[in-house]
Amino acid sequence: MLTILLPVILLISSCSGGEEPAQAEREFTLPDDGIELVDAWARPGRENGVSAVYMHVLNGSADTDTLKALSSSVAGLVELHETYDRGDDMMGMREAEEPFFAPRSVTSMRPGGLHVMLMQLNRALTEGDEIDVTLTFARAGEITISAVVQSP
Amino acid sequence: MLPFQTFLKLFLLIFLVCAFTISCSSPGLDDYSDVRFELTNQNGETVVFPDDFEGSPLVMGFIYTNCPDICSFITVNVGKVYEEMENPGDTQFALVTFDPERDTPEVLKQYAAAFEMDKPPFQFLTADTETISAFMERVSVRTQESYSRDSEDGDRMYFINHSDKILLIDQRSRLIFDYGGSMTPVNIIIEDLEKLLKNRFCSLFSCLLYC
Ligand SMILES: [Cu+2]
Repeated sequence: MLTILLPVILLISSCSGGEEPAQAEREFTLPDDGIELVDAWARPGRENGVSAVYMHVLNGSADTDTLKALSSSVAGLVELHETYDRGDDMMGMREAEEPFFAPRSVTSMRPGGLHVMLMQLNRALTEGDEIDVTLTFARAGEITISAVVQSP
Repeated sequence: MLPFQTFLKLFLLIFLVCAFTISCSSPGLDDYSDVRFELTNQNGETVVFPDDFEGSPLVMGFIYTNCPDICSFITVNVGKVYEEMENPGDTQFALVTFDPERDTPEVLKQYAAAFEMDKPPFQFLTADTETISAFMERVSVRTQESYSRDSEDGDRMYFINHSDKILLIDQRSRLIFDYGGSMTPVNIIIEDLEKLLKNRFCSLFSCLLYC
């Protein structure tokens, strides 16, 4: 009898759904002035294909700053994009309308949201590769960072 | 006339078999067993859905390779289900493009390689435009070209609005569940998949009871 009941119990216990622990928010220390870019990472991509770069933009200045230009030595075209839920059961991607970074604030580029979109990649990007991205801000000027390609 | 005890045992046996059959069979949200789509994988080989997948569970995601944000996470999630499963058995894993115009088998092969997934059990599938749009309609994946513009070298550049989905299909080509593709924690898909693999043991078990 026990051998018959055991699978029944296993079956019942496997029905309960697992819940993911909530992701802890990272804490940042704003720079005293200007802009700091932290935790940059990029997605894999094929040659001639695309990739996305994520990071946190820390604006320590008392003024709003604006992104003026983007470039990378691995991409022919670089733009600031955002993924958005269209509300019709579809996800869309568009150029970010307002590349503004509020005073004393953190703007996070993360999966499913804002990203630096690399297009026309001149080489394949795979896990562990390091690439450069240059962001030019109206006030803070040109900042070049390095982003590591991560696939998870 | 059967002795009462034998009758009771027999009754109990039948009851257990019934209970098992009910708990083991999953109704399914849809049934793809009567459709037929001829697709091509990243190696240029013909793959027929669902016939070529029948007999094994199938985890299937929908992507286009010019989508580095959402679609790259759908791709990786399908990969992670396999990587993180203790015993994936003969489960099959597929990613189907809804952008056949640009996502040729060669492009899909390079894309798969970038994600270190150009190897079994992963297949990246495409087909002609008509087959893909009929297929996407059948599996309820919505797509719509968003904006397009001409790049400097004359290529047309466009993006696609699309459903964000991963499907779990059972050994008998029935849709068991559809998940949000890019943000679903893979352990939820793994749990459901393990139930499917266990069900096979289940039917074996009820078979044993009969004998
Ligand atoms: Cu983008």
